[in-house]
Order: sequence, then structure tokens, then C-alpha cells
Amino acid sequence: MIRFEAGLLAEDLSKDLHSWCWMVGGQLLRSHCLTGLEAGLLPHGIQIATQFFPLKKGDLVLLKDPQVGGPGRDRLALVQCFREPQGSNPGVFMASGFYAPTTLGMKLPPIPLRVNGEVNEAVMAALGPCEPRLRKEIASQDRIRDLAMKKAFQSLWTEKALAEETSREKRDMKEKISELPEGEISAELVCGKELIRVRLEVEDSQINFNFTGTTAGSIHALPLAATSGIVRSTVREWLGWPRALSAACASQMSMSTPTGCMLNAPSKNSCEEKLGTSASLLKAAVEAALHRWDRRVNRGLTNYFDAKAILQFADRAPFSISIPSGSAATDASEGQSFFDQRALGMGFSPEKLEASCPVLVEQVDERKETTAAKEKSTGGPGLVLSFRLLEPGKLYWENPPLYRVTGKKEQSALQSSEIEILRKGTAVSGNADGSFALEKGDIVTLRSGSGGGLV
Amino acid sequence: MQVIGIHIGSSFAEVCLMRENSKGQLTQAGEPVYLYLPRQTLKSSLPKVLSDFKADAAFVTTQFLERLFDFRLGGSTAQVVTSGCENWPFLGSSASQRGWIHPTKTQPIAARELSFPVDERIDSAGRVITPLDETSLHPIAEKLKSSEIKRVCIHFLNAPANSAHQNQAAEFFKTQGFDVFVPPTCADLTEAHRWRRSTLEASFSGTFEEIRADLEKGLEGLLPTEAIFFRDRGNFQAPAKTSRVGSLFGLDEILVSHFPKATAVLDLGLESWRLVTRKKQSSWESPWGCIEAEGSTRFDLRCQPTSLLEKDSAGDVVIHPKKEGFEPGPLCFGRGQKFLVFDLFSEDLQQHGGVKQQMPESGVAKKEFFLTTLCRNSRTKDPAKLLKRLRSDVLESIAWDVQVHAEEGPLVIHGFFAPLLGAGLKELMPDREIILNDEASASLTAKAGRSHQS
Repeated sequence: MIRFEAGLLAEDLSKDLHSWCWMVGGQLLRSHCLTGLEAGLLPHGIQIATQFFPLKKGDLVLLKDPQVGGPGRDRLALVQCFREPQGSNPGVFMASGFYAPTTLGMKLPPIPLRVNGEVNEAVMAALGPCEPRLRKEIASQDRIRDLAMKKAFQSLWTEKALAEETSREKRDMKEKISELPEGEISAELVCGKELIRVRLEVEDSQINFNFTGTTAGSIHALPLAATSGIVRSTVREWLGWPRALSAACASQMSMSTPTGCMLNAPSKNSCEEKLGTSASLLKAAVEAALHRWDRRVNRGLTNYFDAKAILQFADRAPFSISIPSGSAATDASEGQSFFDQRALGMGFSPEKLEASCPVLVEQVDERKETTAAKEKSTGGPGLVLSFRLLEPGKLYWENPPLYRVTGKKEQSALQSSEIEILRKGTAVSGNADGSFALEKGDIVTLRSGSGGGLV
Repeated sequence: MQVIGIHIGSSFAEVCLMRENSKGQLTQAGEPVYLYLPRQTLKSSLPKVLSDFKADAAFVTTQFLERLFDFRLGGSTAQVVTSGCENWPFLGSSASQRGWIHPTKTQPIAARELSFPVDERIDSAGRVITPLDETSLHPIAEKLKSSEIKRVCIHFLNAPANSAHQNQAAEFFKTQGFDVFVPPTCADLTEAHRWRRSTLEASFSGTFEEIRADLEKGLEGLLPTEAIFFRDRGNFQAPAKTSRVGSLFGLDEILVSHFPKATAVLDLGLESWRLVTRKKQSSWESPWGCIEAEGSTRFDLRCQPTSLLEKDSAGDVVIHPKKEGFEPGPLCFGRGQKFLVFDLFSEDLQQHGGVKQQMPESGVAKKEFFLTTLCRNSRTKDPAKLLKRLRSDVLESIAWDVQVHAEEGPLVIHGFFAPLLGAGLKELMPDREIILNDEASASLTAKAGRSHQS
């Protein structure tokens, strides 16, 4: 029997977007993001936008700050009202996040971008080089709105249909969880002075995560909304379930996260600086617990820390480079490595790098060093990117954190990402803050890490 | 004026003989003929189909994508790449499943051992940084000749900014007797998309040439080869000038231009079901990754005639996302061992002159037996009820895809299955203006060709 549901429609229509979220009647319908980060932040963003701005059909709000549901760093998000609440018809809102490298470091409060059909052109102009990308995102959202709200689908957006859908989903998810092994397991991730403690409990068709014992963040921190999205997305990806989150995920996957700990950071912390690394640490901690709990498939550890760098040149927008680490091996298959495995729409391209920055790409390849000696199944090798500077510039390198998790003994250690800068054949070291002053002719080599193997 | 319209798919070819009437319009000279290619070749069947029909021209559309899945692409295609980036086409492949834990790659498009680095460099502004030394191409040519590789793709970074090196290398390999493929220029897409496009163009070449040779032999003595035209995304061309990748989209473009008032055309063809909309796209998400391919937007429906019908964990028989082929085909074809969507319509199709000869009595009986067995183990015990429910699921799935992917406006339902499914789809989409068109694709191809010629 084919199901006609608002959730499936939302998934179908949004599948080409990088991260997206639909809220109907104040309840989460679906949210999705490969990293899980924005799957949690965007629902919060819609709540904030609708709380502060009385949005009407077609109105748009621009978000940046992660504490108010924005994606932070080099990304922006747009919230749009697809339908205002009218009598028994609930309001329909959608948000989507996208890559906007030139907004790196920009501080923005939530701003109404389109009201009554009028776009705030002053804001558009202030956003500079990312304006075309922003307009493209607006056009995508408008198209999705027109398709979703057309007559043929009106019956899906009624209170009754949505309530039925939610209860059906909760029932389905309960059933799925009841097929999983029950039990309680703990895992820890230590990174410098910071500790993430996870207690995972599966009981009565419910998955519970308890983060009691997690320290306050000194370097890494996440808003609670982000934590929620990351934990639930990681579990769903691990189990091989569809990754989009729904209201059923929240009800069947509960979380206890003490206020003030690094996974529930108070709002005075900006969280923005190390948002991506913090998200990766949490994913690694959750996965450590999942490894101990679900032993149906033997697999290596996932390397969540890509090689990330930002290049800056005079009179040019900063350019961020992210090279994915290899994927983990399983008993049945070895890990893989390829560039476009995660980030939809921000895939690396040598020509794009050269067009944006005064550099010349010298090599794009797989790392040749073996990941670990005598592995039964090797993790996917990391990648290597070398380029020569044609002008002086500056590079910011995000060091992968040194962390350790409680894992299974048959897993081999992960190889981490590296950077090497050669000036006339001699290695150049960076500043304490992770920045490097580059000169014309310098050769920069970025290497991403491997995925975990099995020994 | 008499012309032949031919639509060649992966497993079937549809042939329509067309005659000009007194008003100068092309009309069908007879019912379309369906050739089942695993058993009937164009070479041996076309002379019988044409009999004493004297044609002035043949217009051809192709859609042989499924056929390409049967073997690994690129076994005979080499890539000559800017040094340092020779592995980039393989590392920059698209993900068929994205994610952190279990990402998977799309199928390899070419062989890594046939990627050759060449010292040359042009920067993004088009300035020559390292000149191309033609002598460095000689050992590559020698190696390719000794390995009997005939097709070469030239993939140099920043060639759209300055194509001097690309042209120089292309000329060199042409003079050495190779078929040379260079990527198209497209501002919106990266080199990965462009390079993938030319590699696919080269890799498809073999299959295209097989089809062309088979067709030309079938029409030998009946029609000169200069009177055979293939449709690609641009227009009808002589076979040598036809874009191999573009030829997969020829029928899409004909459908969109033949029904100018429709927002979208739902093509329910014999082999594949898809939705073609007026919206233009610059790329196509091929099974080998995203490539440069400008034209009308095509969406392949989730439910296809060869979709598998299987029992799920709850005991319900459902349409499975997995698609099978027409070789060995559905149960009703006699040799197949899997229950496919096509089988749901076998009773109606037995009345259809085009395919009834492919459905022996034993095949239909096999299908009935399979259906009864399936019912015994599933929640719906009555075969008639199960058949009815599955047919309704097929219609709902198609209607859902149309409503999600087509903008509001008139919809044309066209193709082999249009008479069978059209009425049901009309009922499911009461708010939409639906126009049923049961004209054969080959007939539309002939009309488009004739109109192009005139």
C-alpha cells in the first residue's frame, strides 16, 4: 500500500537540499542533515523565527547564529512560512541550510529577509559574494512551497491527517526498536580536559541516552538543539534507517543532558568557533556506545574529523577546504575514499579552488601510507591535496583533536589528518592559533585521515 | 513521402511505418511493430517488417541505458589527464549513498590503469604555466595501440579558459588514428562533471555503434545510410555526428516539443516509465554520477514495469525498489523467475498485438501459479484481490511521483501503457487536466524527423 503522507512529501521535495527541516503546527515533521548538526539546529531556528516574527505565507527569515538555530561558521539558513495557521489548519514552515563560505566569521542575528513579497535588498547587498547562492536557495524553497501547497496535497496538511501520521510513525518506530537487543551500555570519550560520558539504554521499545557526567566545555561546546539532532541522526545512520528525523524520533529516543555541560552549553557561549569539531566528538562518543551495544556487524571506527582549512588572500573572500576522511571497514568490505561522499553542493574541485584563490593545484590523490600494519580489513585511505601559492596569503588549519574512546579491541586506531607547508624545501611551522603566514611559492599539502580498519 | 520511425530501447525496438496523406500529414501505414531484441535482431527483422515498403528516410531515437549496466564501462577508453590529477576522476566520483558511516560510490566509469598523466599546465586565467610537450604523448599512444585501445579522452585542467593544450593533444591522438573525446564547456559545472560526460560519451560509443551497425544492416538495400538520422538532445543528425549521451534524451525532447501546452509528459513506455517536464536542467544524475547534460528535466519513476514485487517483513506483497531487466524478463515471458510489475498487466497485454507473441501460454500459467503461491504466504489470500491491490498501488505510486515532480498544469500521458493506466491515473488526479495520447513513440519520432527535414 502506498502511503500518502506529509512527511514523505517533505522528504521527496527536499531531497536535493543539503539540510532541511519542516515544522507543522509547532511539531517537527521531518528534518535532515548528513552531519546531524543542522537536523537539530533548524527546528530550533524555526521556533525562534516564528516566535519573534509574525510570519505570513512567503515571508523569509535569515539565520546564522547557532544559538538561535542558525548553522554557524560558513553557512546560512533560511526559514520560510509556507502557510500561516488558519482555524483548524496548522501553520507549515520550512528551513534549509546552505554553504556560504564568504560569511565565515560574520555575526548575524535573525533577520527578516522577505516580508509581504518584498526582499530586503540592503541585507542581500550586505551579504556580498554569497548573494547569488542565497537567491538560488530562495528560488528552491519557493518552488518546493508551490509544489507542497498545491491543491492535490491539501488533504495531507490537515490536523487530523498529521495526527494520524504521527501516531502511525510512533507505532512503527516502537516496533522497529523492539526488534533491537535490549540492555545498558556505557562509553566515554576523552579529549584533553573534556569528557563525554554516554549511557545508552534500550528498554521497552525506547532508546535512552544519558549524558550525566559529561564535563562543561572548555574548548568544545554544543547547543542542546544541536546535540539532539546529532545523537538521533547518528543512531539512525548506524541502524541503517532513513536518516530524516521526525517527532517519533524524539519520543522514542530520549536524552538526558545536564544543563551547563558541553552538550547543553549555556547561551553565553557562542559555540560557533568549534561547532563542527564538537559535533564530530559527540558523534564519535555516541558511536563508541553503539559499537558496544549492537554487535550484529563488526566494523571499524568512523573517522569524523575531516581535514579542514581556510585560505585567505588580500581582497578575496575566504575559501574553506574540507577533505573527507576515508570510511570505515566492515567484516564484509574495506573502507573507501572519495571526495564527494558527504557534502552535497560543496564538493571540492581543483578548478574551483584555482578560480577562487591564487594557487596552482599540484596533486589530488589518495594517501599512499598504509593505515595500520596487518589489518584484516583496511579502512578507506585518506586523501591528499597539494597546491602552490601564487601570492602571499594566510591559512587557518583546524587541528583534529586528540581524543580516545572506549572501543572494541579488534579495531585499529584511526590515522588523523595532517598539514605540511614547504618553503624552498624546508618545513614551515604555524602559529599557536593554527594559522600559517604563507609566501608566494610555498607548497601546502593537506592530508585527510583514514577510516577505521579491523585487525 | 514514406518514412520509418524507430525507437530502440534496451530490450525492445518499436518500428512504425509512416505515409504522407493528401494533406501532407504523416499517418501510420500500419500498427507499430515491437521487436524483442534478445530474440530478434534489427538486422534480421527489419527486412521482414518493411517487406515492400519503400521508405525515403528513417528517424531513430534510442534509450539503451539498461543495456549498459551489463558490463563495466570504459574498458576500452583511456584518459589523458593533467599530471597530478590522473586519479582525480576516480576520487571525485559521485556518492550513490552519502554519509559518514556507510558511504558508497557510484559505479566506476573507466579503468584506473588507463589514466595517463601528462605534464602540462594552464592556470584559471588561461595562462600557460607548463607548455605541453607533444613528445610526451608518443609513449602513451604506443601503449594504447599495443593494448588495442581505440578511444581517448583529453582531460586537462582549465581547458575552458584556454583550450590550446586540449586541442593540441586531441589533434595528436586523431592523427595517430584514435577516436578522441573532449569535454564540453559548461560554466556552471566542475571539471568532474565535464570529464565524466566525455568519458561516458566515449564509453557509450561501443554500444551505440553496435546499434547503428545492426540497424544499417537491417536497412541495407532498402535505404541508403545517408537517409538514417538519429535524434540527440539537439536535433536529428547523421549517426557519426550524434552525441552518444545526448541520444539517450532524444525522445524526451521530442515529447516536450510535440505537446507544447503540457507542463509535463508522463511517458509510460514499454520498458521504462518516466516524467519529462519543461523545466530545463544543466546536468543529469546518471548511474555513474552527475554529468553535464543540458535539456528537459527527466525523472525516472520509482515504479517501473520491471520493478520487483516481493513480500515484506509484515507479509504484504509490495513494490520493491529493485528493478530487474527484460532478460530473462517477467514471469509471463516464460523464462523469468521473478514476479514483476509487468506481470500485473499480462492479461490485458495478451490482447496487445505488440507483445503477445512474447507471452507463451506456459508463461502466463507460470505467472498464475506464482501469484497463487505468493497469496498462500502473504496476508492477502485471494489472488484476484492481491492483483487488484497491486495494480492500484502501481497507479498510486505513479500519481504520487507526478504530483510531487510536475508543476501544476496539463499533463500528457503517453506511451505503450497509456491506454491501460491512463483512466486510473485520471481518477487519482481529478484536479489535473490530463490528455491521453496512445501514439507510439516511434510514430512521434517519425513525425519529428519529417518536420525537421522539411
